[in-house]
Amino acid sequence: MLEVSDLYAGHGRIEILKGLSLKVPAGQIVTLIGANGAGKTTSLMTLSGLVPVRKGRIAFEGRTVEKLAPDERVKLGIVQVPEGRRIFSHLTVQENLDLGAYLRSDSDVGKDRAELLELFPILKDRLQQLAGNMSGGEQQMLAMARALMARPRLLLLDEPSLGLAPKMIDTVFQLIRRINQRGITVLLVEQNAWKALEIASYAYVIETGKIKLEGAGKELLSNPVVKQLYLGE
Amino acid sequence: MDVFLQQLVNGLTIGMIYALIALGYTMVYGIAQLINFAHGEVFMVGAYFGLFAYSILTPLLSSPGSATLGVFLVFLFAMTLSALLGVVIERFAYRPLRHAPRLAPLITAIGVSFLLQNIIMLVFGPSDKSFPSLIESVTYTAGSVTFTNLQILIAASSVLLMISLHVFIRHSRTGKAMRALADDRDAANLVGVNTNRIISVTFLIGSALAGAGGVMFGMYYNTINFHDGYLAGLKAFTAAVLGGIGNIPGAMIGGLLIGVLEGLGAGYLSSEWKNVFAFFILILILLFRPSGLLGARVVKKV
Repeated sequence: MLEVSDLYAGHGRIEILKGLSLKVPAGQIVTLIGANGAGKTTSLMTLSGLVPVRKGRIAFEGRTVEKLAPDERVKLGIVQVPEGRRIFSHLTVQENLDLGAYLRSDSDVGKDRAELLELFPILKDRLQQLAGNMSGGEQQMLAMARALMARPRLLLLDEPSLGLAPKMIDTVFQLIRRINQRGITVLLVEQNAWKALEIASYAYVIETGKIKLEGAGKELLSNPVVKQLYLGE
Repeated sequence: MDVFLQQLVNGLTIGMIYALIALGYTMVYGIAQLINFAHGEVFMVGAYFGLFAYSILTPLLSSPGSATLGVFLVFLFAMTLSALLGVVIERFAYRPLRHAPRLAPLITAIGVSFLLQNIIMLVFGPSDKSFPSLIESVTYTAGSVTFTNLQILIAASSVLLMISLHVFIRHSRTGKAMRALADDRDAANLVGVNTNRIISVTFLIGSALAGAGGVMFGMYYNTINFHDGYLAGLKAFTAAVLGGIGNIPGAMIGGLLIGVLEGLGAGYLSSEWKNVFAFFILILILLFRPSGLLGARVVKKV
């Protein structure tokens, strides 16, 4: 579904991605793990079009998309839940959800919202509340629901467990699984390597802007290098 | 007390005009993080657009049956052309500098100001132009306070424009996108909001409001000049800062406050000094409450 080949990107004079290549097959959960500053967030921002590509190719369902503007990529179905939630904190929960469907003009928006409120019941009683007044976990739910309102085909998740209580982390990972079961392909970036490798069918390890290691999720869990560097054993 | 009420009425009238201009400053700042110092000039050009529309529509305005329609068309014409002017300024003067250091668009804004002033001076001449009242003047008296139908027209249409703006920002799809962009630009892009398009719309709305203010200004003072935008723009900017730059209700309140203060200052002290008060306030706010009365969301997460 997504094929990234030999991607270079960065901010100003600093090059962060130095020849990144990876593949995300349709219907799967693929994870990208790595240390801080390895280029995880930049990878997702480049896929969403917020960081320009300097060299290399991004193909989405056979189409070359690296030159497309962020909104055009959302229209194709590449939707991101950014690191740190980034919900619109001065807007209500309802307005955040409406903005998720910003580019949609079909008549199913209301139906989708009702469905999503079943999936994220926590948001139901808070529709008229300012999003910024919610707890971190609730904000993560909202950020995911907002992204789902766009009807993504490929969901990019950046550190969804960051800063959450252990119980909330379990809930978030359960939700990722359920979202994937609905037929949405997931590319998950995580610093919680354990959780990510457990859930993913395939995993990549990124180091200084390049893929260092790759393999099936379970395989990497028992890989000695991964164990030492990313699982803290 | 008589002076007080009378100056309050006069101050509120001119305050409405300041508020309309201030909205453009504050919206553009909130969404594009840019102080558009050419905005006062858009207001001034708007008044000239109104004058031009008047010269075309004179037959319509002079016949009693269609005078109201005529006034409406003068506003519509001035607002539409001002809106286009604002969009063109953004497209060619600011958009190329979107990622430049913040000083660059500021200097460009001053350049655009000079350009607009000089174009108007060359086309319409450097001397004051008389601006018609457009409507037959009627004076009302309530107690010791007198006011005209023109003052009512200015207040009513300003309030109408502000309410429309409020409803648009609150409830329309584009209004939500504007607020989202002001809140978090990256996140707004990630849901598919196109930054350039929304900034264009912001300039369009802000400039249309300034154009309406320009026509009102002309009708109220009956004379316009190519450098009128400078002072009015600066006062409206003060109003926006007073209310909290980036904050829309703040700009409305700030505009009214500056107008009232100016009116009272002119009434009690001296009308020669009336321009001093706005800037005195600007200095006080910057010293003691730089975030303005209603505080704006100027603090950005990094």
